[in-house]
Amino acid sequence: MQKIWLPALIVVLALLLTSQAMAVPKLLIEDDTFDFGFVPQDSKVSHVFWLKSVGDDSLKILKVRPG
Amino acid sequence: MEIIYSTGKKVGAASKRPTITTNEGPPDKRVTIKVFAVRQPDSTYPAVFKPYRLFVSKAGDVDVNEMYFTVNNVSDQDLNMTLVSKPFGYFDLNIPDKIPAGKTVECYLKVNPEHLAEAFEKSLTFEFDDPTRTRITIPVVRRLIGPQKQPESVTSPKDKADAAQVGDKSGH
Repeated sequence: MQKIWLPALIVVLALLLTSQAMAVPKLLIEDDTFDFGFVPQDSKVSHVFWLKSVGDDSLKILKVRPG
Repeated sequence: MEIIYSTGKKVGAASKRPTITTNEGPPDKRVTIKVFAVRQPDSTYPAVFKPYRLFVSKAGDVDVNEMYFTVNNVSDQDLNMTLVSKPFGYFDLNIPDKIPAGKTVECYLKVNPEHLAEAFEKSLTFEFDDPTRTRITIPVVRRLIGPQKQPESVTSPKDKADAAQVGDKSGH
């Protein structure tokens, strides 16, 4: 009986480890360009971009650098 | 993710490409913003906003939290106007979607109550259906000038009692 359980346990563990290793975060920005058009000189304007996490692991934003 | 761009004294076309680094790994993702800063925003084409910068500020007890503004169609064709970008939850807006050629329409903006206690600089971007699909962005600015009263309803009597207790404990 033990001879059957040991390989089965190894297979289950291997599958679990593989699925963990394959879980990857992925960021999708559908509209990544925005045109404000005419803007008055000496003013601040703002726009919200939607960031979508489409991977199978949690997405973490580590840094945002101004362009 | 909100991107804020300040034109400064510059005029003409400009673009920025902020970079986002995530745990996805390289390459980093980028977003692009484009602006065309104008010195005379009261003479844009095919439409002119008046005023072209909305101030909804509070000075002492005087709170201007709503205002009307106009859009004049200075072209010879009817225009459809679409709001393509606005800050979420900040404003209640009433905007006609069509402006007949040569006519002026009135628009209305009101700051939502949950944002009355804060100073902000936001903007509204409109797109017109002329051949070049012109976009015009108008800044909306709220400043809080002078001493501001804290709203009474924010703190319940129980919270006040709890705060007093914490204050007593921290004193020892």
